[in-house]
Amino acid sequence: MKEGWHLKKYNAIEVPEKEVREAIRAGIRKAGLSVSKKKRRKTGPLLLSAAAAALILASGIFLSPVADALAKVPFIGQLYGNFDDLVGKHLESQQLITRLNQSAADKGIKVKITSAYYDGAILGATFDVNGKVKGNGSDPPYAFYEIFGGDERISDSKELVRLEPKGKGFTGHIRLYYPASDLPENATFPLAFKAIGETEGEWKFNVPVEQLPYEKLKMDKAVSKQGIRIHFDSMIVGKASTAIDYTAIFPKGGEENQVRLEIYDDDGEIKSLMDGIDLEVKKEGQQVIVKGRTIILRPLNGDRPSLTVYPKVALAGEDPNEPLELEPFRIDFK
Amino acid sequence: MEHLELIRKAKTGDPESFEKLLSLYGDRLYRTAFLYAGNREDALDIIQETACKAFLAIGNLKEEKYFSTWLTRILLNAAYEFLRKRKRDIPFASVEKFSGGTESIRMESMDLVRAIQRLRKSYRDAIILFYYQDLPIKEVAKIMKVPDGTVKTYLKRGKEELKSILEGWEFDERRMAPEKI
Repeated sequence: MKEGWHLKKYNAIEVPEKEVREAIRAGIRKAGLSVSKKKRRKTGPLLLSAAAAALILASGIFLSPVADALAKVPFIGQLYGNFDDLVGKHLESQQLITRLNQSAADKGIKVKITSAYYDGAILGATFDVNGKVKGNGSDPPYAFYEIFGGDERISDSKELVRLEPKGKGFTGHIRLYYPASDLPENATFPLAFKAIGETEGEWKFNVPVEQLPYEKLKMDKAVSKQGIRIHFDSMIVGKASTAIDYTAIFPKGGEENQVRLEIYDDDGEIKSLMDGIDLEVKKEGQQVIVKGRTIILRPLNGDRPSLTVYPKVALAGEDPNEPLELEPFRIDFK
Repeated sequence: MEHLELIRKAKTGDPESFEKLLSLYGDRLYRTAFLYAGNREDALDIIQETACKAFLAIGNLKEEKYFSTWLTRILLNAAYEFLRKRKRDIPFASVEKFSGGTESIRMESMDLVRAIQRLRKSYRDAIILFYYQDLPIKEVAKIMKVPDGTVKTYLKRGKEELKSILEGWEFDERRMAPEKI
């Protein structure tokens, strides 16, 4: 190492060796599962056009009455207490989580979906795992799952989730955003587990969800700088989350640009955000048009809160921590 | 098993050899990921993504002697992709405390992580690759896709900027400390 320059400081970064090995193993496992999946299906184009989105929705999400499938009794318990899911925790405290009891078994392992919620543009579910779960070492095992058929045009459609011990088995949690501008009232989302711990298999579900009451507010605010324009279209105010929908127009080559919103309410900066969700990307002449969404993952404070939004754009090829800053604006709920 | 043999076996898609191979780089991968992420959990996520992408792509590695450079490039891409997804500056509070070493070294390392995160991207990459990944100038230039001379400029300016940030903090701490009577 050159000059020993700051080497002492660098080497003082303690390495959690066991966790590093586990992370390497999990990465290899994720890659292996992606490869076996890829061999079975053709991959689609990288850009998600409106037509492609419609196709995904037609093939992936089934709009249907779900009243029979849903148990109407609100669930009271501590399902979300152990997970990093503020929306789930808030809804649970308001008894707005729906209890489910869907099971699938394969290779001596039973997976049971225990609850789900659908608030504004965000969905969540919990599940239990019981049976012959083989881990790798002494750490809790992972489950590998796909949503919407693992469609690669939807980010986060394939994920590894860490299972937490629960009784004689394990429990886990999934959270996802609805991948389209228009939100159906009732839907089912296809969910398939492809591996539980070291065991590969198939545990398939169509998870029924019913959207909680929400308010849709029209916005008409635009900001622009350096050839980039963001128009804020609407807000979806749910029981424990709020989605802000926008249309961003970038110059040609800006497909990888990413809109980020820094949002403040009366209590300060809101840190719990799911940001930069691309719902549709299309090219028109010399422009790239992105329909996107940012979701605030907690209820807004107060009955008539006000928000201040600082729009930023992380430019492709530039340091993502030094985004282009556009003019801030305020939203009043009056 | 020999390093080269591990690479060759890994290229055939053998997960065990690949795991052994990456474990040899575990410390370096973690420390570098930590410099970008600023906390343990995110650094481990970056390693997981690096392992995934590297395992998928190792069949395309042409020259085995460049494995380290190739892996480093994947790590950097994974780190920036992660930061892009995280979509915001790392809040000061999220920079973890270290649990090893003496107290003064721990404090210095926290300062180093924070200072490196404040550097502009080109200086940060050059400093991390040259000083901490221990790569020669030519390799750093290849990874960053800039001429050798530009890397040297980045290193010089980055080092000056880093020192200035660190010294500025030390000065502030001295100024804040109560004077002895």
